[in-house]
Amino acid sequence: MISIKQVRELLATCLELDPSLLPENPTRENVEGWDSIIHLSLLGLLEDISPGVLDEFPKLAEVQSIEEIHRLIGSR
Amino acid sequence: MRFTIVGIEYQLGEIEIDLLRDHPEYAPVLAKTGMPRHYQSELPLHELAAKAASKLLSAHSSEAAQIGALLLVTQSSEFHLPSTAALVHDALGLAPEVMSIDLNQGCSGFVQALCIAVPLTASHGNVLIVCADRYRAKLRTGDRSTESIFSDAASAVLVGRDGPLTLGFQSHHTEGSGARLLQQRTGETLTMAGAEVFLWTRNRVVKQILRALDTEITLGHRIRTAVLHQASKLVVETIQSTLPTGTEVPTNFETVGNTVSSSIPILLAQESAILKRSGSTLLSGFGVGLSSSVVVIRHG
Repeated sequence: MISIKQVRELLATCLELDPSLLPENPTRENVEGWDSIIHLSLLGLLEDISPGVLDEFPKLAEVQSIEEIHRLIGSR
Repeated sequence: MRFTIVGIEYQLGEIEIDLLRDHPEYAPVLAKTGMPRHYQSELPLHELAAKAASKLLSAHSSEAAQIGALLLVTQSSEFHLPSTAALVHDALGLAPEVMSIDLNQGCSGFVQALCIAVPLTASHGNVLIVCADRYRAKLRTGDRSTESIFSDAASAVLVGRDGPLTLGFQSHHTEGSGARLLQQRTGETLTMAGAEVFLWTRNRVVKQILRALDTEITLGHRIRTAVLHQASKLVVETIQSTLPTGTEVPTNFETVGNTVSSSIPILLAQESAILKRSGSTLLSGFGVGLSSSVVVIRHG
């Protein structure tokens, strides 16, 4: 299972930030720099830790927040 | 139907952009795009197109005299009307009886134009395909997902009757439901939902390519080379990872960026041996539309 903390850490990795610097509920609106390039990097890391997740959840491309990501794939 | 590629020429935008020099803050995107260099043109689109075509016609003047049709692929027209093809026709001094039309298509445009041009040679003699785009004028300043990708360029391919080549498997896919993912409304800048376009490519385009490979193998033709639209490093490598080991996948995104409709012709011009040696070559163009087209060129 992928925890919300893990997803948050992956996003921080993509942004080259310490996870503590992210907002409590990171979204593409409130995180500066979370553009489509960063989103692609995040998808790549999600696939690395959970192979097949992109095929199973194509809607990951559209998600707007960490919470949304975790809601989609958290139980995988 | 047999055909030949008489020649290919291209013209990059006259302004060279060094991504890291001009946008050091874009350094993180290079890992995904693999494109440190881009080109921008300030020329009117039809002049950029005519530059590429003129180079080609100068080098092949006797074949140029037998041009019966001009197919111009662009999504950067200067005018709503007339067609850019009419302007390029005039710039090149082509005969009045040459049928000249625009194809409003992007990254899949060259493959589609080729699939139209080859059978058209039966009735119209040599067919000139010109691809030309000035996407950089459409971009929003500060949008690194697009500024780090697109380059302006034009290319010209002269298709002739007879010759050593034939078209094998071809497949075309149009998905207008994805139009919003890569679009430019009149008076606005281009917007691209990169992650969604990437996942569509990873799913739809890869399936189309693999179907082409399977079909050609069943018919006894092995694909030696896959010439892919140079969308970005991530996209090319993702598609490449699904191809049979040993398939050649030439690239030039590192040196010219994503030149939209000219992506495949420029690669074919730079790797001129590809269509001269025996074996089959797969062309795959995909993107805005959403649209994806695959064709196999058989040699010998």
